[in-house]
Amino acid sequence: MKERLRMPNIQALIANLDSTQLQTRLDARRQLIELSETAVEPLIALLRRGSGWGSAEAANALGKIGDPRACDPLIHTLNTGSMALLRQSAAEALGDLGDFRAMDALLAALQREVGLVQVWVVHSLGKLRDRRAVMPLLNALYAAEPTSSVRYLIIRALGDIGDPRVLNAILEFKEDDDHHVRADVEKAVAKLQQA
Amino acid sequence: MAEVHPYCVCIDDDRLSRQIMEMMLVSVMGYPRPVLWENTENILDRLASLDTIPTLIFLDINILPFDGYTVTQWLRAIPRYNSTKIIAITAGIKDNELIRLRRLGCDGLISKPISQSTFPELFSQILAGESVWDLR
Repeated sequence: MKERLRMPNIQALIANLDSTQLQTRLDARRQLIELSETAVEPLIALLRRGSGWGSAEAANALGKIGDPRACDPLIHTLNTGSMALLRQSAAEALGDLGDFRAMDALLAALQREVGLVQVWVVHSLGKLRDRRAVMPLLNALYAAEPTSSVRYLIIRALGDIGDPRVLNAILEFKEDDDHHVRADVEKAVAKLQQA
Repeated sequence: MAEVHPYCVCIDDDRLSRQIMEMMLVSVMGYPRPVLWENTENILDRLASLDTIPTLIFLDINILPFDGYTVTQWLRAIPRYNSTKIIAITAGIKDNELIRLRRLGCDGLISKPISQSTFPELFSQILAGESVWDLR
């Protein structure tokens, strides 16, 4: 007798992304990522709701699935999401997606956001490796508080983007008080000298 | 039976990292606010003075005055902390440093920047007794 394959109930999984139980959300997210393209439109619908755990988990899942249909909805969420955690998820997902259509939104968020969201905007700009980010990132580096961890992340992103024109600017931070900054300057300089 | 929440300590000299860790543990995972310290001065006395033995200590490996390697070595020599998980948090690590952390008894490593998409799962794995080496 043939075993009938059980298709997961997508709507039930989508509903579980809103669960107050963390493990339920994680399990649902994992299964939706495995469903891949089939789950994209229901996830986008949940993302568009723009609030609650479900929207943040939807952003995470869409980033991991990597379907380009998610780009515009994620940009919208980055721009308008009510919770910092939601905007962080959107910023991270846009880096995962790797779609250059997100550049303008990420660059605007770089100037607008602080803290957790800015950290992930910087990280995603580094992943996209688009040289349009170089000057905005340098400006953000100079504007950052001297003790902020976003500084080493910006230096790391500049190293990943690989534009050798920033080498001298990065070298200014070679003797920085922050050991993270010094470590990332060393790595970024190595990458830029190979570029 | 009431759910027992983990009692966490986070030791990181970076204020933003401490804020993000607190957000993850409290807002994302629904746990009580962790103990947050910015250095390892008098670390053994401070840990001993806590009402509860920590379930988990997140430790920046480059922290001062005593780095994460030193603190891990000390804690692993104290039976009181035998059940405490020690998780290194770092923005970057070399292979030989990773080997050293494992040898000293570190239970895992989480890379910065910490993400909502990965942290809850890593944390759950740690609580379940797994070693987690989140290298990026």
